[in-house]
Amino acid sequence: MCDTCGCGLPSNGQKENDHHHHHDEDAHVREIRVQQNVMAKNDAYAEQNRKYLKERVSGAINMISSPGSGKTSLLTTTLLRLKGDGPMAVVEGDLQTDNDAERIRKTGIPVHQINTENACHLDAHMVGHAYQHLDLREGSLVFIENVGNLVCPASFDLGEDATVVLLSVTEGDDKPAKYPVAFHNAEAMVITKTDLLPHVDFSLEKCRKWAKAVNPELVIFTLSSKSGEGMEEWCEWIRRRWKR
Amino acid sequence: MFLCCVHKFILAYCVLFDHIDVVMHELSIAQSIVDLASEKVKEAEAERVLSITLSLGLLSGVVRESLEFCFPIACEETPCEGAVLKIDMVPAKAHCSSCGGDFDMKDFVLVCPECGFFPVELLVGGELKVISLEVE
Repeated sequence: MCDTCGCGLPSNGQKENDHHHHHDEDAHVREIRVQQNVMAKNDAYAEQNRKYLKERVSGAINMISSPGSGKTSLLTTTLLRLKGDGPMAVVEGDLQTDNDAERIRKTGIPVHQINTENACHLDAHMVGHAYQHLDLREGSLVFIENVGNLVCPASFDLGEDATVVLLSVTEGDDKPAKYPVAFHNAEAMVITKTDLLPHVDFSLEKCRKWAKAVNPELVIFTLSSKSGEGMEEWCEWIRRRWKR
Repeated sequence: MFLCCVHKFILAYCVLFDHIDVVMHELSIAQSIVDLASEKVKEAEAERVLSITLSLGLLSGVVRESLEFCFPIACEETPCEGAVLKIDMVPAKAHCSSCGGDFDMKDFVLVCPECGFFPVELLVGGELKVISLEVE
């Protein structure tokens, strides 16, 4: 560590010649007022995405959850149920592989896979490019399946109309309290895999209570993609919300 | 140089032992801060960033210590390399429309500590803003 200003560069090392002790040369130091939100760049792309969708009278749902909560399963069963109601498209986000896009392809709905490689979340710039690939028809509803992660995706506006957060009954009913940002920013929560309830200690009542405590407006669905229980209420909400 | 190696070792440890979600979040945020600062230093026709002053809300979802940890890594090979990150923490405050009280909030549980009413309205505390830069 530099003894002069405490930065990470060594006092005696390879980079010494590059390391200027700037505190002695204040004449060259300027302060720039920025007053800008750190997420401003992403937010600008998100606004572009919103504009793009509006021009096509289209909407978007951003689905977020931990890995393995059942986003892809819910999406495939939802797409099959909503198929007759209007054009749809999917943006798939994963670090690697197009396994999820393959599953969506089987429903016959257009899908574009984004491989983030290292990034643990989708951002608005990536999603904007995905829309270009999808060539959205007027009146489309786009489902964005985000990278499995309950932390970062909650902070990145993609220009969606609504964020839906999933939580499966194998995960622990206090998740909304542990990951409040994700649940606070969502419009709806879907509790998935209810067919497994007899085998786990998950309390639907406690989960709802925690969820409402961090977001009283949260619309809550409980369903099983596997058995079909609760799917119709979820699909009806989508139909009403996006007027299909 | 040595400090950056130590940072990378600890980052690798976190990846291996599954702390990846928390560490990666702050790394993404640090990268966004560095991107913004790098843009501004270019606009100002300066060469390097010496310090970044950041306003960080308690309920921004960003952990201060993790951000401070990740920041030097994000700065490597950018105009921000070696920059000091100065963080002004902004406490979270909320207002209760039931009892009329204003109070500090420590978390997202929107229950009034005085009268138990919910939801209370969050007034400040979600900030994540670059206030200023020192450049040369």
